[in-house]
Amino acid sequence: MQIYIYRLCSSFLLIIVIILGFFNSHNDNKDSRFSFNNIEGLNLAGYGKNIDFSYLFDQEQREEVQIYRTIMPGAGPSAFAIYFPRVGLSLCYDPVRGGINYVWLGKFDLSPTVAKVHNLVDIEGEPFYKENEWYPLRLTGSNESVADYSFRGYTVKDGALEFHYVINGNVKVTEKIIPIEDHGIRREFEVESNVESLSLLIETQDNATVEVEGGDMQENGWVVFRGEPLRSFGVTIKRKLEDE
Amino acid sequence: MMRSRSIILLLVAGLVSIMTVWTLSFFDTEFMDELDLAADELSYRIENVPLPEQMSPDISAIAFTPAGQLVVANRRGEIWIRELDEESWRRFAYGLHKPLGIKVETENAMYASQKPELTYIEDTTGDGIADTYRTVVDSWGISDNWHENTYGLPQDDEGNLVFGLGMADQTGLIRSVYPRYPIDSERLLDEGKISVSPWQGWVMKSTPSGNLTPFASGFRQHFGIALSPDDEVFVTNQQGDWVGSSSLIHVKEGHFYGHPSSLKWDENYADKISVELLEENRTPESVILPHGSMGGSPGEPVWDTTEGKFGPFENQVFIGDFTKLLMRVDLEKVDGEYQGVAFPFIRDAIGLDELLDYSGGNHLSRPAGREGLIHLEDVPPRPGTSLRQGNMKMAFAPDGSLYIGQTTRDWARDEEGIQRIKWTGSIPTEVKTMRLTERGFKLSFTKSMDRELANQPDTYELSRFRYLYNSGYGSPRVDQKNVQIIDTNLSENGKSLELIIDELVPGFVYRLELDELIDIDGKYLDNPLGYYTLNRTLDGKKFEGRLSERIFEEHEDVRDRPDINYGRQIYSTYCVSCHHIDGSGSDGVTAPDLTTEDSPLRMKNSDELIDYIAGEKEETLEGRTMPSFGNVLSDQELGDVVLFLQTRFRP
Repeated sequence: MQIYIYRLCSSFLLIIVIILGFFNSHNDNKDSRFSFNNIEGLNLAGYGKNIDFSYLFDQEQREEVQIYRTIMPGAGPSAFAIYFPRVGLSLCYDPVRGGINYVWLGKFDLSPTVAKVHNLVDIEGEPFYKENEWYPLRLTGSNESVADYSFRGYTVKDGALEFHYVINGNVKVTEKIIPIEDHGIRREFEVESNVESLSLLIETQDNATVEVEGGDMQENGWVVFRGEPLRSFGVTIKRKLEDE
Repeated sequence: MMRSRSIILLLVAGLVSIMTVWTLSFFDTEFMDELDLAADELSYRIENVPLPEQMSPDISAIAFTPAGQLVVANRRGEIWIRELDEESWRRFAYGLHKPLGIKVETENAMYASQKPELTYIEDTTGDGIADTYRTVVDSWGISDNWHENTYGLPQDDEGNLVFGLGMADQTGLIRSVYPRYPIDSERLLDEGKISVSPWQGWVMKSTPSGNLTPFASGFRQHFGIALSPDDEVFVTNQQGDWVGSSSLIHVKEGHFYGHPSSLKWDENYADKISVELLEENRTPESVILPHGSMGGSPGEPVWDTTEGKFGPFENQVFIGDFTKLLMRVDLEKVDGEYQGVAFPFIRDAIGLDELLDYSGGNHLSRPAGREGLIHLEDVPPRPGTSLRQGNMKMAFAPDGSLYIGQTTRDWARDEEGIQRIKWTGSIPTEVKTMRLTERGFKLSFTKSMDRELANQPDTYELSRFRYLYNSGYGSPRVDQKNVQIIDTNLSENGKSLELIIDELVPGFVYRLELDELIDIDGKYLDNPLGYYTLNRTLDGKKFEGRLSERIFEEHEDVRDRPDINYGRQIYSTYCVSCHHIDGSGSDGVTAPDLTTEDSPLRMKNSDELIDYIAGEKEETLEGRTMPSFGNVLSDQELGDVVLFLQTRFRP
């Protein structure tokens, strides 16, 4: 019997060793076993095996713009939720409608979208800028006709976000979205094809100011940009202060 | 805090188990010897692949770079790359919308099939992180319905990307304010999955420059898409409406494979869809994977092209399943068309008894749907590392091991991740092939079989059955019949066996059971079961009856009152995933708590509950988030489950 008591005690000792080993190896996993080149210490786009399901994306911890294609409220079926951490501002870009659907101060919660039968992204803030019109950037002169817009993707280089699309079948446009101080964004359009004029619809905003550079504002909200050929133009959107 | 407690509890439980085994080992060395022996004798060993903690383990795609790095996508939209040291990982891309397929060119460039588009993702700056997400093609319709997915993504010898477009679920909401194309939600023939926009329910091809070609139609849920070594397109299609049982299908251009909804976008069928026309034009599946016995939701098929590194099954097809099952398929061409046999390859225990007794267990480990439990054959726990469930994506590594990407779609996260199967070098005792002959079947074995047993017809059980083709959610096995084995003939080396049977009838699945057969070393077969899909005989005969009707006399289960035990099984099959075993419901899918005073059970009488669960009357559809079961359960079964609900949960 004595030998079994001895063996039982030795088994407990072994267990303690296993526990210490487990925690040690656990730490090893976090610190050195795996290397991360861009998201060290974050649970950014999902959960790890031991992370609670009701996670929020840790959007504050990254400096670069964050871009997620997902199910957004008030948008087409696969829109972009975009967050600019340095200015604390988010927007919804809709590659079906062809523009920025809304902009708000704050973040968003993607967790409702990951269930099997999913819900929409939870917008954490009140949009101060909204668009509704389809294909707001068109060839000048085609305002009354059904325009054509084809999404071609996006790039993120040096922290800058660029959307690429083609309008009217052959006019290639790159739209860079830059966050700015004072709660706003600047949209810089570059036209890669030879075209003399493009028109952009600026919808009336109650809670935002919209400034255009180099364009001629028409009475119906369309701004006409011209060039020989047209190469670039810009729009700045800012949240209206309460006394404005 | 809760997580910490869980971990501590798990640790304590684990330690007690270890302690018990450790202590037992002193008293009974045979106990340990048996465990070691069982694990040592395995021909295939399962290993868990460590994943970085930051990575969501719901694996949606898996592949290898030409250099051998593992590339993994997950449903959260990330793509991760594991370096050749097998320890360092980097997140290559993120923010994708349900990438369910990847085609890797290099460690810096790859295609992904997202829900809305095919995308070429590239690192152009050399920092190891993707910076360019170029839309290759997106000219098909989508809404935000949860069931619309884009499956992929092999690339054929001509450079075309091959992918499948999933259909909307009729009970799922469409919440986005506008779709990409106009929505047509009409149901053509009582289907449950609806092609609401072009080209849902099709297999498609696209050139790398985005030229899109609709390739074939009629798929319900073609999750697994692959190319054979001969560059032929194959898909796995999952059981449900218009699909009697899941299957492996050889897909040929211009053919129709059975689900009617996709024909909305085929001008040849405009205004003239009928069951008779569908039956006439439907191309049958190559190999049926009988529901229940062979899982419930097959994943991606992969061909063993490892040149022997994975054992003796060169050029055969391996298919994972949502349940704890991997299958092996041996294809042959008969009269110019593929058909063949499906065997279990690796199975693990799912605890069926516990499921049926309601005492716990993981409800997702068994096949859902009609007859999912009836034909399920549980097995003892596998020695060594257990096989997880959710085995939907697979790829062979350069070293010949089979990597399995697992996802359970948020219902059982402990079961997700990556496992790999390694051949230990020990030849398994298996039926290697089962091929059709003029008078029966010819089997080949991986080892020499016991001559006396092999040559006795009584050693085998052979039967046949078929599935119906109609709008119901899956089909029961119908026209079942035992088949007599008239003669047997084992070859001289004991590795080949001819079975002469009394009749070969095309259109049936032949089930062969070899439980009693042993090899010359006295070892039983690892998987003594096979299902051969006999679409054609060698002389080209095909099934001539109506696919939607029974041939033999129908024996319906007619009961005069609801059966609470059957209701419990139905609840366990269809309801428990959202309403939970204790009826407490879940917020995530808005399933109400069935145990409270204001629960629907309290507010509705039996007939109203039956109507609501069926979900076919207009007044039951407003604000509905629960799927309709009217095309899934019979009236009798609806009564069964309502009786169970009222008995168990009504406060």
